[in-house]
Amino acid sequence: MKNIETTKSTNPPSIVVLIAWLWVGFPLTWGLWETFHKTLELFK
Amino acid sequence: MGFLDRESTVAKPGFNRWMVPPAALAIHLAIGQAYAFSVFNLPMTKLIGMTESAPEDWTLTTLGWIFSLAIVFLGLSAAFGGTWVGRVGPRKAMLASAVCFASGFWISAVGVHSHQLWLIYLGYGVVGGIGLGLGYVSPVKTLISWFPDRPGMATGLAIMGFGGGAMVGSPLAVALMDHFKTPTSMGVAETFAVMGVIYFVFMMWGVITIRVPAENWKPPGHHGADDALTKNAASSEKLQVSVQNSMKTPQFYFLWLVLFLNVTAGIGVLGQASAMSQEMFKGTITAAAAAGFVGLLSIFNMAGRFFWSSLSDYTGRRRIYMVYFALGALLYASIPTVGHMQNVVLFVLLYGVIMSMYGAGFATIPAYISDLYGKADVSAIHGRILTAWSAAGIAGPALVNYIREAQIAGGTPPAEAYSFTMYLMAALLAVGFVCNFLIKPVDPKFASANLK
Repeated sequence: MKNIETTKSTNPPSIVVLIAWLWVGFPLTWGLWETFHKTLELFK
Repeated sequence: MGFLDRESTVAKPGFNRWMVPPAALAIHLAIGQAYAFSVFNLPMTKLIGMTESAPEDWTLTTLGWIFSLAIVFLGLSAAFGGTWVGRVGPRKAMLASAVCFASGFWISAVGVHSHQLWLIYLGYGVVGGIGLGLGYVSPVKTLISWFPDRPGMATGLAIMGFGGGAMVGSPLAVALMDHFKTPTSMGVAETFAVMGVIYFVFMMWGVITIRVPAENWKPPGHHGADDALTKNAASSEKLQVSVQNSMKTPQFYFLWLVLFLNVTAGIGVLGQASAMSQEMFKGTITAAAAAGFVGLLSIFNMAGRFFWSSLSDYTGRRRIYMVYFALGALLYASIPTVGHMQNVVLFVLLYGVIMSMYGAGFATIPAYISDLYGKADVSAIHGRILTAWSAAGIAGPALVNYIREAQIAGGTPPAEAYSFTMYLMAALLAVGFVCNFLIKPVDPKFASANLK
């Protein structure tokens, strides 16, 4: 039973993979957003 | 077997390889902050005078050396530390990078607090610079090992993070300085101290989660040979060349020149993008709009690292560099004409594509090295090729500024002087095209039998 669970589950669990991408994705998105705001000056 | 040893980082069967790019990004996003260091320059010229520079305050010229030192030590540590990074594995190298990069901030905080510039040179410039170099090369081999089918995409993703690091570092520094600013302090020392902590914690995610694939691991559906390699590479798939042997091959020096010329041309025009746009479009592009233009270029620079490098998995590395150089030269040479046409949209667009290929030049080089020499010693070879970056960091601005000054002194109007610079950069790219064209498969006699 334990073996079946092991083979069925992802390694690492999907939630950890998601957290990993959020860890880097959040600051990157914030940085992009801040930069994007600055670029709007170009089109004013 | 310690937590930091390479053996401890070997992934268990079934490990999800998509855990690895965020670990690499945690390092590259952090160290990419280096390109936002200029945000500290102006506040650091008023540490004593507060509202304006006092005679005892540091000048912009002396502060400019902090960034220059950091880039020089990035190149040196990548060149001399690349072999060590390859030997000890990514986790130990990433930790060393995090410790150096964070310590650089902390030493600099003491330097600002005690108003001793040499401490900032030592801190951010030397110690932090070593952190940059070690961090830059540390995840590359691991990414190529996990994504043998898409090495350009994998390394492009990490090196895109380096481009994005400035976008995060700049507003973060501004927000922290605003927070810590008091009537008697610019808040720089406190900002350095806090940024050291933030970046150390951020990078530790990469240190903890990084994994290397087990020996002979292949991605699902991947059979034997590295797809991207056999489809595109100039070299035999099994060829593994040591860093020492790589330096005996002409390809090494052509690759160095390819990176050097691409970066020299890119830095040359990036440094003058703001002033050039205002000179060429007087009355149309204001100082604020020019700052927006530079921000937009950084987005193109970042996106290009991922887009073009990913595309290279399909086209092949040699062909994509042909595009960078040929299309780049054409676009550089078109900028003066577009300036005369007073077409702002086209000017911005052309400049954006140029910057995307400038970033791509950095992002595609690890996969190119891996194609030619195999992945065994890619960290060490990449580290040595990166000295081209340091050299270009000095040569690019010096070349552009010297020629510009000489031209203006000779009576050329400032806007026309920009035109000459662009033609010169186009010529440099043409030389780069030839260097890239001359890159052929590495002679198998340079292969090292005991490398893997």
